[in-house]
Amino acid sequence: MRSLCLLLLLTLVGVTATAQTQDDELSLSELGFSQGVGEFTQHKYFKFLSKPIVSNGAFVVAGQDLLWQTSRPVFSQILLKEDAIYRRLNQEQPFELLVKGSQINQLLSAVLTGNIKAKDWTITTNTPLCFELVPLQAQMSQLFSHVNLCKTGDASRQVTLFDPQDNKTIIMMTLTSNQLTPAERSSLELR
Amino acid sequence: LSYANWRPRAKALVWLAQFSVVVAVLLWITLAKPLTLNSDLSAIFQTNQHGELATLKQQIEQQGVKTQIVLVGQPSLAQAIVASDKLAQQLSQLPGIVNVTHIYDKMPSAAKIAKQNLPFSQLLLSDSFKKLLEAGDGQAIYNHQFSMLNQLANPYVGLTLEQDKTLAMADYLSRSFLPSSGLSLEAERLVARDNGMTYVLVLFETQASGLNVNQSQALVEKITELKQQGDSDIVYTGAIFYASEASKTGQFEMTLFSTLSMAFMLVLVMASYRQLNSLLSTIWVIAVSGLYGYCALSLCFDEVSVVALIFAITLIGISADYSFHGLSELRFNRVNRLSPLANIERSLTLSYFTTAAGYVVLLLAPFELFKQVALFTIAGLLGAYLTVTLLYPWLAFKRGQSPVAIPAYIARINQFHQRLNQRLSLTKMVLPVALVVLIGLIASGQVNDDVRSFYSVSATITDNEARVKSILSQRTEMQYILVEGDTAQQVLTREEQVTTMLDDLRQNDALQQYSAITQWLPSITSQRNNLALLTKAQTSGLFNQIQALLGPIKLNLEPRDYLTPEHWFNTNLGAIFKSQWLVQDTKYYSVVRLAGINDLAKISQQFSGLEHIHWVDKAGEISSQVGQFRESLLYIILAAMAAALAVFAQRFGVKLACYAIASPAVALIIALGLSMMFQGNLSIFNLIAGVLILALGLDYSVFYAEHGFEKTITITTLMSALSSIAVFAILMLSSMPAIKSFGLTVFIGVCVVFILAPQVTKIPHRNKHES
Repeated sequence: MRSLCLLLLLTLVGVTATAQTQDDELSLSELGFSQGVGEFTQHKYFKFLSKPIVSNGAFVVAGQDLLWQTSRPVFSQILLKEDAIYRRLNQEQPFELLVKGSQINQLLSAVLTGNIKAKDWTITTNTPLCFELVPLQAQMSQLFSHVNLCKTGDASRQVTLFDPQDNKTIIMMTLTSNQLTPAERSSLELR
Repeated sequence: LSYANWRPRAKALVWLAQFSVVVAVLLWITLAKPLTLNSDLSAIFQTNQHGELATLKQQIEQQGVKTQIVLVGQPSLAQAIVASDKLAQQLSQLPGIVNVTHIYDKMPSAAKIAKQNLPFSQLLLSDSFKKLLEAGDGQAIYNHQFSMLNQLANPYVGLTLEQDKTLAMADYLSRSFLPSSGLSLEAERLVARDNGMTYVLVLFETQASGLNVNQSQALVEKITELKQQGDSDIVYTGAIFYASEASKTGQFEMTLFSTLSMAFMLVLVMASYRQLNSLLSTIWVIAVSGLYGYCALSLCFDEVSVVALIFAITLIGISADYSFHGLSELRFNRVNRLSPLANIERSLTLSYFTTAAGYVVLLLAPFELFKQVALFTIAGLLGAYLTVTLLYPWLAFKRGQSPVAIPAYIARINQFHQRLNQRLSLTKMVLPVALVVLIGLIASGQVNDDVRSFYSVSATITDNEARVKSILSQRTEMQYILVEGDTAQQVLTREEQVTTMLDDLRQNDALQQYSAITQWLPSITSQRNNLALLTKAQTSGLFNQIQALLGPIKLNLEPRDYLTPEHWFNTNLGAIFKSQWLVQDTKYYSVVRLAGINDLAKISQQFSGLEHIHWVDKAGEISSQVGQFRESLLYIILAAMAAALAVFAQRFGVKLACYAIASPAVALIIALGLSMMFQGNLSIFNLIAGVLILALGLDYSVFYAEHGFEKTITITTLMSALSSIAVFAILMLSSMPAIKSFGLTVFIGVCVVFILAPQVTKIPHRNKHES
């Protein structure tokens, strides 16, 4: 009888786990967006600093391309393309290649746009609206030990990136429109 | 060397004795030192260089020849990994392949790289960071520092910031150290993407740098088979693929050309001599000459180029000439049974020495290819000469045949040739034409010494190489700079001078990129300067803004260890650059690799003639040597003509000697002129063909001068000319531009010299009766 109870319990746990996973994927897919513009505020905490380094700016997303423009306190643009990451510190200058390869930019793009692929992460649920993502690739875990992705409103989310040195970056993102103007679309071009 | 008074039996015994020695040598070679065929195209113009620097250059070049690149493409990374794993596994099972590399699980972690470099923080600065500090713009420095701090995925910021708040070390380590900008490290593989396909890099090395024909063909066939089996897009490049194609083409052309030459030769013999014995004798002479050539090559070389063997096929045509001379004499003339070749022995000997002298010129060339062709031909012709002069008399003695009538068609050709010879005037008609052609040649001066244009490769090979370069965004060039020094620090300091010059060239768009050790390991002097620059920046307040954000910056000004080659090459980063650092005896060398050369002349000029800094351009060096040899060849041809003139003048008188020399000289000029017209320029191969025209032309002149315009001489010179014309015309079918131009010039030259050679018979021969 005890064995039967145990078996029943295990089966129930299994069912719950399966249901939970299905719920996670559903919720995760709700977090994703493939196109839009918005604003962000970033707090970067280094463990040896008492105060975070704060910056804010705007972002533009279209498919796999993402422009991350910091406006204050210092202007900079990071452009994530399908196969590389580019940077420029001045709008008059052309973009310079920062990282070649698709893995880092695709994962970074996925974290910021919420388009998470289950094959790249171990996904667990902390709270109903938060997910903890642990990268599966060893190379990725050199960048992030884990990532927290939380829905904070209909069009807002909080992304927290933890690096292996216990420093963390909290990014508050608000999607202001899911339509792109021609100027915003052209800002994603490598010029 | 006159055997005229020897008995046929004695001659045959002498022939047998020397032939037995050659056969014994052949057996020894086959067992102890078999000759290997080398199909490495880059070795065609290999020069024998001596000295430490030459050895070093060869070492660097051989490393490049050994490494082969394969890219395995699939729509997704996962599929590409599976396909590349399979290919790597199959490659590693093939003989002759070593070090198949496709998994990069030993790539150092960011944490490890940071840990190895942090003790040297503030001593190491990237070029861009150094320029910012030198410009002294505090805001620009802060913008750069803040953008690094703000980056979402830079592991080096978190790993080094606490120890180095200037962010100089994070900036220094954030640069890519992968060999190609198109590659990224993903899932322990080096990956590149192109047109929606993901490619995984597989590198492998061949055991030997000199690529054996069979080995290279087997390897490439296996790779092609693997490519056909799977659905992967396999793109490849490397010396082995070039070698395989060269060996395939070489073997095909060798077989085709020798078969065609032999077939033509046999038809010619049967049509003229109409006797099976004549056919078998000619085959025997050709076989013996091939054997002698092979033995000589095996004794003097360990490896022989397939291209040299294609050239060597011409031996079939030239050695058969000796048989024709012997057969014509024995078949159509009433001869003394005890000394049947007495009439032509002197001419044959003179003929052998003039032809051999022509080829000896090639032995002086600084290139292995020409030496191999020359040696093969000289030894081969010796075999033919000895067989005809020593063995043919005995065969004639044994058979004791009466002379037969010369075929009617030969008589007709002789009549036609006689009429033509009467109408043609060497001095009034031919020489003026030749003079005009010569002036035209000198005026145009279109010469091509570019060694790369002497051989051609298929579109498949060049397309594959272009695709590999495009997928990897790699534009690494063959040219490089070798920096030399007595100490490691001296090399680094000199290399920094080189990189400053290269930076200027980059600014002027002469060059796109370069890879130098000092980009990662500055000299101690530079490390001291870097620290001084940082100290000055701090005291000038250039770090005030970043200090306000991160707290005070403490520069380590205490005496400490600098980063040295001994330490750095043992770190993970240093290991990647180890192939660019060489130590030989007491000297140190570094290699600066170049990528994307836009103005070769400008770069070459900048680095030529510098002390301890060597501009290495193998193709350029060989091309310049080809040019030098071409120039000296012109003088050699003139000297050879002068020598022949002197010998002929002594024997035949000055006027006849001038005529005898004029025919081949005119033929040479006309052949070069027409070759220039067809090719658009002339190369060393046209001039080498000129040497052969001269040698063959002098042969004809000797026979006509000695024996007059007789039917038996016509048949011999006709057969000789036809066989040479056929062999060299066949060479024009070759896919190799070098062989093609050689064949073209000799073909034209022999046609012209055959027509002009009897001109010598118009001049009375003062010693004819004595001879």
